[in-house]
Amino acid sequence: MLRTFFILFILGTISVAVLAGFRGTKSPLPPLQIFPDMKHQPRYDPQHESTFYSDGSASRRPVDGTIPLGYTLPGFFLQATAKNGTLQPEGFTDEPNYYNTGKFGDVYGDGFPIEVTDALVKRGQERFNINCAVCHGKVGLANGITSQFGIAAIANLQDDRIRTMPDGQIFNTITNGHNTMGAYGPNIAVEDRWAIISYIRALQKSQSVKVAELPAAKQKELQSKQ
Amino acid sequence: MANIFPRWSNILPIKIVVCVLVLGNAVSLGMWYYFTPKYTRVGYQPAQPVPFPHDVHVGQLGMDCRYCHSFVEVAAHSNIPTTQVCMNCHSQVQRDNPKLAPIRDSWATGKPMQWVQIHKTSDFVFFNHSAHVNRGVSCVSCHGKVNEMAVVYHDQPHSMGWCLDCHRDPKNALRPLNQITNLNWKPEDENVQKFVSTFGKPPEEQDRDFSNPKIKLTQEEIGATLVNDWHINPPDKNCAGCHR
Ligand code: HEC
Ligand code: HEC
Ligand code: HEC
Ligand code: HEC
Ligand code: HEC
Ligand code: HEC
Repeated sequence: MLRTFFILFILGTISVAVLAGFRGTKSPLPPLQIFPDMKHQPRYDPQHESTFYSDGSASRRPVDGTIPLGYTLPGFFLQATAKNGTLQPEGFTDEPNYYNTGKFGDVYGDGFPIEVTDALVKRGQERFNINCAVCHGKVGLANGITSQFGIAAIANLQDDRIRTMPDGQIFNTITNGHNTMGAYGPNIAVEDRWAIISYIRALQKSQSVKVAELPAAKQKELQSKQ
Repeated sequence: MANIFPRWSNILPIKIVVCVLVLGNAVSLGMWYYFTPKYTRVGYQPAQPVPFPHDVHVGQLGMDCRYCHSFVEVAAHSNIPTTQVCMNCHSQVQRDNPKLAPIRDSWATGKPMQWVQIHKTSDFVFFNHSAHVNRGVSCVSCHGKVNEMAVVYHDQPHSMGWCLDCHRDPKNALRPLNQITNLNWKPEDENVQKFVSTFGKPPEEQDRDFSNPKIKLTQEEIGATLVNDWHINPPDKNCAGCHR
């Protein structure tokens, strides 16, 4: 009797192990939940689908004439913070001023609406390497990795045309795209776009600096290498 | 009077005890092994509408996670990229690849892509990406080597015990902030002098001389320094830290 039990027991164990497999086995089946408790509450999570709205998406567009949390009212500085004594809007705002559009009326402006600091350029470097370098290359020479995979006619950011282009026009290119380049406005906060432009300017400068313009320490370093 | 119980029934109770013990142990062993997120979640790899290869985009092209998951540093939720993000490149790259047909349809019709969600914490838990990635916890600690996955799967159990394991001893997971999205980072790669001058010396080695560039820092040393310098103190005993 015990023998039959053990034979059945071993067969049972083997079949459980065969059916259920081991920890970490890849499986397309959703995780089993025996006691769901309150793990799934009837609420909408970000980017989830909805059976209520006709377009099937729980994320809604702002209704015309309303202002989402975190945005400012045109003409008001709801979220303004005082930096160096002047009021500045923060993050995503929609007021159509130079800071948000790169334009004065219909013409592109030149110059930075925020103070260009070391920290801003460093931030710009980080954001440029994340968002732009895959196509434009680390130095902006249009030799990013995707140029080997079929993205044609990437603009060379070291061209005289881009060097003399107003800052506001570059801002507009980042926000809305240009010809075959897509829009990056939805992914990059306004301040970061200005940071990227400051870094592009620094890159352009870095490719055309005369030795005499360098700080003394760097000049020495260069001479010792020659 | 004849025996009511035959002779063999004398050892029956022992046999029953043996069977119950063996079965009981097997069942609890099975529960321990199978009824845990280490089994139910780890390895979950649903079929996606487009078999998006992270290994090609991150490993081969060298893209940063934040090109696509662009709000992971500023939001609780790490966003899945929009169709437009794919079309930035795929309007030109692999234009005829049938695998990308759903992306092109979505771009043409404006209907969002329906990716299958893989990682999902229970709804009664508060989890915030920005609180972690801005405090030195890399994606790799919680999602595994995504940069080598052809199709993403659930790599870590994401159970409460797993969260607490790290919260009780975060020094094994911390790294400098500019290496958060570099999933191949190794503590040995860190430049000793730069590290010590920005974050200070490891708290237990205040007297050691780190001026020799050949010194390699260990994860323990880096983590302990950062915990000390950034005053890292994740909720571990306070239930309301995660169950708000
Ligand atoms: C997917 C590849 C890709 C990425 C990523 C990309 N670009 Fe471009 N960019 C292009 C292409 C292609 C062009 C050429 C467009 C054209 O035909 O005018 C271009 C053109 C430009 C131009 C010149 C536009 C003009 O008016 O001629 C600027 C400036 C520019 N990009 C800046 C950026 C910045 C800043 C970023 C990062 C936020 C970026 N690009 C990211 C592909 C890219
Ligand atoms: C080119 C865009 C792109 C890049 C770069 C990228 N991802 Fe993703 N990621 C996606 C898309 C699209 C999905 C959804 C499809 C899927 O799950 O395979 C996704 C899904 C994921 C998921 C699973 C989400 C879920 O449903 O639970 C994780 C985790 C993830 N990515 C982590 C990373 C990490 C870490 C990096 C950087 C090493 C990275 N991704 C880089 C596009 C990208
Ligand atoms: C920076 C440009 C870029 C972006 C953005 C991008 N891809 Fe790609 N993708 C590529 C390149 C380049 C290849 C081809 C690599 C090769 O040929 O080895 C590729 C290959 C692929 C492939 C593999 C095709 C195959 O036959 O194996 C898929 C699928 C894919 N991409 C999906 C996506 C999706 C989905 C997104 C949006 C989340 C996306 N890509 C975003 C550049 C990009
Ligand atoms: C401390 C652990 C932890 C770290 C670090 C972490 N994640 Fe996550 N991630 C999670 C958890 C937990 C979830 C499930 C969240 C939920 O259910 O809302 C998740 C979900 C995701 C999702 C899917 C979101 C969705 O709802 O579909 C993506 C994409 C993602 N993470 C990307 C990243 C990237 C990229 C990084 C690195 C920059 C990262 N994560 C770092 C724990 C982490
Ligand atoms: C690999 C390590 C690690 C893992 C895994 C991890 N955490 Fe954390 N967590 C941290 C660190 C580090 C902090 C930052 C503490 C600080 O800022 O002092 C933190 C902070 C937090 C906070 C406080 C943030 C705030 O806004 O107050 C919460 C809540 C939290 N974690 C929840 C979770 C949950 C839920 C999980 C599991 C799904 C998890 N964590 C997994 C390392 C981790
Ligand atoms: C680090 C964050 C964190 C802290 C602190 C924490 N929990 Fe949790 N807790 C979780 C997560 C994550 C889950 C969901 C686990 C899952 O989905 O598998 C959970 C699940 C639970 C559950 C439900 C288990 C189930 O499967 O139904 C209970 C009960 C619970 N926690 C109680 C507590 C108590 C009591 C404390 C305080 C001693 C506490 N938790 C502290 C993260 C936390």
